[in-house]
Amino acid sequence: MAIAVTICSVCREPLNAKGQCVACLLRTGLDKSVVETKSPASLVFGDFEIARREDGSLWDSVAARWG
Amino acid sequence: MKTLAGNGCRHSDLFPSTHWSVIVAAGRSQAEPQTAQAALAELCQTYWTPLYTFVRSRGYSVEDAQDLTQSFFAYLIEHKIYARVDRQKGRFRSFLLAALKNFLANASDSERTLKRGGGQKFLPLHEAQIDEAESMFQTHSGNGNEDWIFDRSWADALVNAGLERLSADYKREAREKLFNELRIFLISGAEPPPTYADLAVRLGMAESTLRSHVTRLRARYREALRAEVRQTVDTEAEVEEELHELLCVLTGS
Repeated sequence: MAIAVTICSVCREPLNAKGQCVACLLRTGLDKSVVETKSPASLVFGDFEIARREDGSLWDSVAARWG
Repeated sequence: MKTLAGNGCRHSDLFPSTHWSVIVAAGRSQAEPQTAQAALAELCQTYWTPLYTFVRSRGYSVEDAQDLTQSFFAYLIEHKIYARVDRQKGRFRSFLLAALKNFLANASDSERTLKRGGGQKFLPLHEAQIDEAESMFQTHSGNGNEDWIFDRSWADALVNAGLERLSADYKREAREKLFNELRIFLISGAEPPPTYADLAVRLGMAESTLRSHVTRLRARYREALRAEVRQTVDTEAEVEEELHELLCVLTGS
């Protein structure tokens, strides 16, 4: 039985039966920048986000971004 | 799941207690067999599809492959195959594939008939799960050998376990709707995801807030996926190796 395989719009790898790109999902698991760019301790309140600096102090990252 | 008392890590990067470590500990009589069997059952449930697709790739019919996959789990328990595990020689994926090959090579017709006739099912399965497994086999059966199909199916089962874990977390936090809206940024598909600006307007939130939510979603998924891998390996380094290896299987690089 031949099954038509759809291709991922990002990496061009074949999608699985659920239409998901397993390769992209694995890459995310390997992507260290995903955790390094944002502390898991950061919090979002509406339009504001409280993030944690490397020294542990807190700052309003969204307010800082928009000045 | 019971935890292991006094299974202090011999190496600094060994995880304290995972399904795999519990199974290995039982093999050394350092954990109760029931605890190991429960851990084994959970892992075999998660990775039932790779087992099934491997059996199918050996040429068995749909019905025989279902029976054999179920019988394999019974074989693992009844013959205490997990007691022969050597933790230094590999991960759960390697162990399971080697055990399955051995089972298929040695299982007699009478044993198979007994299991089939008895209708004894050790792993509860849904029709949808069986259909998905068969679809997986049909999609990939012409693309590689039986080991490749097993690994390809394993990668699929792994990421789905990670997504289910993440989805459950969002649901527990009463943020299931947010997860469903944002998952398109996580799960690449045939169509490119919407722009942040467009989706932010539709969801009625600031674009910067949306970006923060997506960043957090990706970070949480990463941790959920790696938590699933940790159940089947010993060290954090092996988590990396396992993910790299599975990615190589998929991309052929």
